[in-house]
Amino acid sequence: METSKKSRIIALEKRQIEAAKLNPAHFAPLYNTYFKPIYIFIFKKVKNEDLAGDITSKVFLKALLNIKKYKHMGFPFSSWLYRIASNEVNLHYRKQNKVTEVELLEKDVLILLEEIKQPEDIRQQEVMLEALNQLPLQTAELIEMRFFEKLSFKEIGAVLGLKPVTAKIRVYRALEKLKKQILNAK
Amino acid sequence: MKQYKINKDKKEQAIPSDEVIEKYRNFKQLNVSYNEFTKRSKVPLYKNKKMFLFLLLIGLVAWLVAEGVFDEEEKTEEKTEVKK
Repeated sequence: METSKKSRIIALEKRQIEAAKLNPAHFAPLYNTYFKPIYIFIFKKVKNEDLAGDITSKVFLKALLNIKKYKHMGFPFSSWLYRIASNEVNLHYRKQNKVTEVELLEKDVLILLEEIKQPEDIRQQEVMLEALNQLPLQTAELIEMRFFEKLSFKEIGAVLGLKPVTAKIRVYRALEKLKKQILNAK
Repeated sequence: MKQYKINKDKKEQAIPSDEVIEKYRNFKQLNVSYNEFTKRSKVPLYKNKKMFLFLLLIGLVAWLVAEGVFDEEEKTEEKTEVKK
């Protein structure tokens, strides 16, 4: 029952994409379906309503300009939109500054320390930040998406073009790497 | 490159309400931006001031070059006639 509903949604989405390829005005249903999730995804990254609105507009404009090139590769259409959104946010920060400073809430850092079973004192917070800064960018971004932007595994999977289960495995591998880095730093 | 920092004063920002998000949803504007990117301008090239000057400049250069070539041809024709 559930799978037939899912396949019906996918089929409808495919028809909407084909229609949008022929006429940009037919992009409206896709725009209306995905506007809110994409806006929230961007807001979690930039933490500013107007900026999130501005970047969301750019994301949909890029999607509309490139929809003719879009090919269904087995991932949902939203995955493509999330990737455009992620690139747009990175582009925004790159334009502003060479080094992107990501401000974390202390509460989130404590949750992360608890997750990797480390003491939660101030010294340990500093060690963890140092370790996080030294992790490869892709690994650090997995942790960032899950613990600081609070994305679900489904959303992380959509951004990376992975199944939610695979995204979960990657996040936990990233946590293992972070833990190792902390232990090496000690 | 990314640099992670802890901000101890910052509080968690709530996700904007549906009403706030609706404020930014504007398909008409998206269509306008799309048309600006893809459709050619309706104003003819010669009515654009800069483009008009550019076209004038090209025309002038072409005319000068053509004049120079004709002058050369006339001179060589005159020379051959004098020799005869």
